[in-house]
Formats: sequence, C-alpha cells, structure tokens
Amino acid sequence: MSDKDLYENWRRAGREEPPASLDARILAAAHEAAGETKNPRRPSWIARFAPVTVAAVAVLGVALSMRVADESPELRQSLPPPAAPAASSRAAPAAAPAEKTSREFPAKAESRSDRLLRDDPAAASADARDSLELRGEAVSEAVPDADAAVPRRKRAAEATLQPRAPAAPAAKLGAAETAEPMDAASWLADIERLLAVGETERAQQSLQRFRIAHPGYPLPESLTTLGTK
Amino acid sequence: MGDARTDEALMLAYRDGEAGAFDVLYGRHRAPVYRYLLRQCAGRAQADEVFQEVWMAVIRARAGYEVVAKFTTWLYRIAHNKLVDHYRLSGRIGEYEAPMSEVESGEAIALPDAAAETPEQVRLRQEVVVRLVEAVDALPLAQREAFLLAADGELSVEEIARATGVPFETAKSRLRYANARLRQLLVDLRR
Repeated sequence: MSDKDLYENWRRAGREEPPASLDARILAAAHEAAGETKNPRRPSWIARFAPVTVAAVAVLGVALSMRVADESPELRQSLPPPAAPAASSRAAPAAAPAEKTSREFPAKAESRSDRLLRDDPAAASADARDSLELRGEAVSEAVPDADAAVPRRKRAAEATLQPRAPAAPAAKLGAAETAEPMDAASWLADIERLLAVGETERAQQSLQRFRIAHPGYPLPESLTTLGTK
Repeated sequence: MGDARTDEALMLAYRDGEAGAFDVLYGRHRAPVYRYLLRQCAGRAQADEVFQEVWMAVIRARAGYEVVAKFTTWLYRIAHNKLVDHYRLSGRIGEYEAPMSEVESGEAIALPDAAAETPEQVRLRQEVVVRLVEAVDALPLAQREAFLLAADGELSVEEIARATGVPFETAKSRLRYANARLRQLLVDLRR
C-alpha cells in the first residue's frame, strides 16, 4: 500500500466538520474585515472637525504671519509706510498739515476693507480674510488681523504726530542726513524748502526717497520738474 | 459553479477587499483544517477554539499577505503555531517534542469503496475507520501532525517542513514513521 492509498483511506474515513455557528462567525468576521479594506473606516470625529481644524490652522497662520511682519524690521522696510494721508487724517485730527494735505491731494479711494477697518476693525479683517480665502488667494499683510491692526494704526498716528522724531521713518528710507517726515505733505514741503534755498541735489535725493515711500502720490507743480531732472 | 482561481489568487483578492474570495478559500479548506486540529486537540471544544483562532489569524494577516509559498503551507503554518500554543497552554508541549521511536512497516489493506459494499464490508469499513482514527490518535504528536498535514492538508514533505518549521529530513522521518505505523495497523486488521 502506497502513502497515497493510505491518505485516500484516511480522507474517506474523515467526516468531521466545524459546526455551522463557527462557520458563520468566521465568515462574518472575514466580511467585516474585507469591508474595512475596501472602505477604510475614518473615525467620525475626524470628518466632523476637519473643516474647523482647517479654518483654525488658517487663522493661526494669518495671525502668525501678521505678527512676524509686524515685528520684523526687514519685512517692515519692504512694506509701504503705514502713514498714508488718509490714515493720518483719521488718526490724528489735530494734525493740521496732514488734514490740509489730504484736502489738497485727495488720497486714493478707500477700499472696502479700509472703510470697514475704520468703522469696525474686527469685522473688516474677518470680512476681507473671508473674501480672500474664497478666491483662494493668500491672506497677507493686506488684510490685517483685528488685534494687530489697531496698535499698528495707533503707531502710524503717533508717527504722524511726531514727524521730526529721529526714529523710524528716516532709517526706513535710508535718509541719513535728514529726518524726513512720515507725513507726505510735510515731506513735500521740506523738499520745496530745500529747493528754495538752492539745495537742489538734496531736494532731488529726498524726492527720490519720497517716491519710493509714496508711490503714485501726486506732486505739486513746483516739484514735477525736479523729478525729471 | 466553483471558482477556478488558485488559493493564492483568492487570498490576494481577499486582501484587496473581495470578501467572496474568502468564502471560496474557507470552503476549500475548512474541513481539512478542522480535522487536522480535531485529531490533535484534546477535544472538540478545544479544536473549535483553535480553529477559530487560525482563521481569525488569516483574516488579520490579509493586509500583509504576499505569495511567497503555497497558500496551504502558509495556512497550516498558522495552524501549527496555534496548535503549539494550545499544547503549551494545556501542558502537552513535552509530548509534542518527544523523540521518535522506530516502528516496523508492513503490508496494509485498503478501505472498501462505500458505493459497492456488502454488509460485511460495511462492518469492516466502520471498524477500519474507528481503528484508523484510534491509530492516528495514538501516534506521537509530531508524527501525527506530519501525517495529517500530508493526508488532510495534501502538503509535500518539503511543505510540511516549512509549515512546522523543522528541517526537511526531520519532516520526512516523522511522516515515514507515521505512515509505517498506520500501514501496520491496517495489516493487523486484515488478519
């Protein structure tokens, strides 16, 4: 008798099978596992909180970038100075020259976020951030965070009130010999004074710096020719 | 109509999420695996328990399954490991690892074909079945396992060696001794 015959005899003798309940249990477990393989189950809390998490991360990211831009001098240098005529006239009603200049040289039209920022900084920043996010644009310095915006405006106003302060403006603009004012109108008046006393070269240099600081700002007639020299 | 795919193809399909592939695999191997365990466990309850553990292990291992050997070799390797765990828990591991003893071989009889049996043959077949089962149960555990893997699992000597984690020669010896003992039993029955 060969081994094969022996095995055949054995198989013919064997009739035992697992109980049906055991079969059912194993097959159920197998099917459940196959379902997990096909559709890996994601905890429901992940699905529920995912949008909130994304929004929170976006807000934190914006706030962080605002803070960094606000506190980093290098970044601040690359940004236009915050003392735009409109802002200075708003923040410092007592600053007569600024008001005057605002009337003489009308500032560019206020954007929606600027208007909102004046009325309600918090609403403005949220509104503008939403609109940028909906368009898929990066939220940057253009849309200040409500908390950060107020102190920045305050600093700008303070700078306007102290145009001759030896601090930031001149350093920012690289004017070593003059403390050029943050306020555009005062600055232009200074240039005109330099021109009147025959300091043409210095007046030209100052005007160049002015144009960098206030691009697009309309120049008085007396300075338009200086700019082309 | 049966699924013509190989065991390995079915297991890969199951790994990839086709639940029906497992049904086919299970249908093919449930009875042999169950008998393999039943003949080696102390009772039906223990066999049921180990049987379930084996298939649950197959289900759990599906994600990492790759075809590196025959499916049955892999399956019986899992069954063997679960069985060894069972021996350890039930204090029979020493019995499983006992050295083999020499057995004489001899001529044997074949079981009669059930379809064309006389009453005498039916009686003989029933007796042979009972004695064969007793004889298999009486084999040392390692030999019994080798025999069951060959007879129920249809594994070759090499596959038995892989499934049980022993050298080829050890598996071959175990199987040879087991077969010799059972043949001897069948010879005795004929006398």
